[in-house]
Amino acid sequence: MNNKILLLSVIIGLFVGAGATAGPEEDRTVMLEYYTGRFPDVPLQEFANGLYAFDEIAREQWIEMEDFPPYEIAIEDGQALFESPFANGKSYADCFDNGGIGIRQQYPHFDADLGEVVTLELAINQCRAANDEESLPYLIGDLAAISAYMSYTSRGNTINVKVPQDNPSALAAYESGKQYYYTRRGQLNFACMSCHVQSAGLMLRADRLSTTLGHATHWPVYRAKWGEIGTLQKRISECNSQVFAKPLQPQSIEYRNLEYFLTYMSNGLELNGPASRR
Amino acid sequence: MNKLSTFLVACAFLLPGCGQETVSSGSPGHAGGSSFADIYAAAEQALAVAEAKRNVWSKTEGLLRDAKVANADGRIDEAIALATEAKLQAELASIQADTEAETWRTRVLSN
Ligand code: HEC
Repeated sequence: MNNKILLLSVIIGLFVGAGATAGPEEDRTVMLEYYTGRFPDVPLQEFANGLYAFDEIAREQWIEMEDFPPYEIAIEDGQALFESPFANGKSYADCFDNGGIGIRQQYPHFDADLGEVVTLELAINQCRAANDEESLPYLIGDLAAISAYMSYTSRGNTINVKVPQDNPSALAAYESGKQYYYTRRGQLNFACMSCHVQSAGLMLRADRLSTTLGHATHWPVYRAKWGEIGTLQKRISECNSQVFAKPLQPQSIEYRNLEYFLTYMSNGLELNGPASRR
Repeated sequence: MNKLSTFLVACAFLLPGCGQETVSSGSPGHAGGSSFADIYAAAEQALAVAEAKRNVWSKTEGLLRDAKVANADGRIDEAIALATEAKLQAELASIQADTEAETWRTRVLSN
């Protein structure tokens, strides 16, 4: 470790070690220890509820919101869309394992044939393309509703994202997602980690910042601010915009790799989507 | 360029927002004798470089659009100021991407 790096680590208050080159499982363990150390009173599965895990006032409002879950209509719409056949008579169920029911925990995964990360949302459009249907927009609308229904059928299943050790391309995709998460960007010069790791639990204007752990358990989300249901990549775009970085295309390679890393960090937590947030 | 680079690295350790003030101080004075067309072309080129690094700041393209409108309206000083600011933003974004290509590693959690 050279002096410059040592100095850097002191300044940002983190210890520099093998972190940049550690494997996925080591990354996940370190992150888990970091947050459980920082929030010793929060039970592990509670991290799936974002900032409501440790902000009591916001939590009360959220529990009230959940009395009449604002995403329920999206689940119903999504089920209807999911079950209506394509023009060729086939349906979504034909594209997925187990007819598409209870399978969200498998996503994102690295598709060895394609050589890329496939998110559930990408897979929905791949299914449409395979059946000569037009792609749906990725951030809101019908695709988000279908995703909401598929999440609903997967509630309670444990996230189990895999980075196959025998596939260097899969590891490279994971690494690129990890790099994205730790890279400063935008006019404000922030990384994802600046807010959600370093400043987790602190207030940023009206919001208490949630933890990386649990960031991938509950999508899509009905946000009061959006007034509709939106996918994880909509939230990511918004977090880019907050620091005055121009968002990338939804489902771009970078965003998919980021989602791969982010979801891996939540391995072992139970899916609880769709969810509501303010 | 070197000065900017030093600035950005320094910026990384200070509170966010410091980049913002600097870029908004881009003024027509920097332009010297260059014409709007020259500065606009240079800004577009700088933006293309940042774009290739997949690291564009969100206001840069808007600044360029506004510069074009101001120029068409005959508000030349303003047009030059806007294009200069866009160019500076794009250059800073490129430097940021280059600096971060290695620096991100120092930030990774480890025990
Ligand atoms: C300037 C600070 C900031 C940065 C940088 C930032 N975010 Fe956020 N993010 C927020 C705020 C504020 C919220 C809303 C409050 C919360 O849930 O943390 C949020 C929410 C989220 C959520 C939703 C949490 C939930 O429970 O639903 C996700 C996921 C997320 N951010 C991911 C990211 C990613 C990925 C990046 C990097 C591309 C990033 N954020 C960068 C501030 C930031």
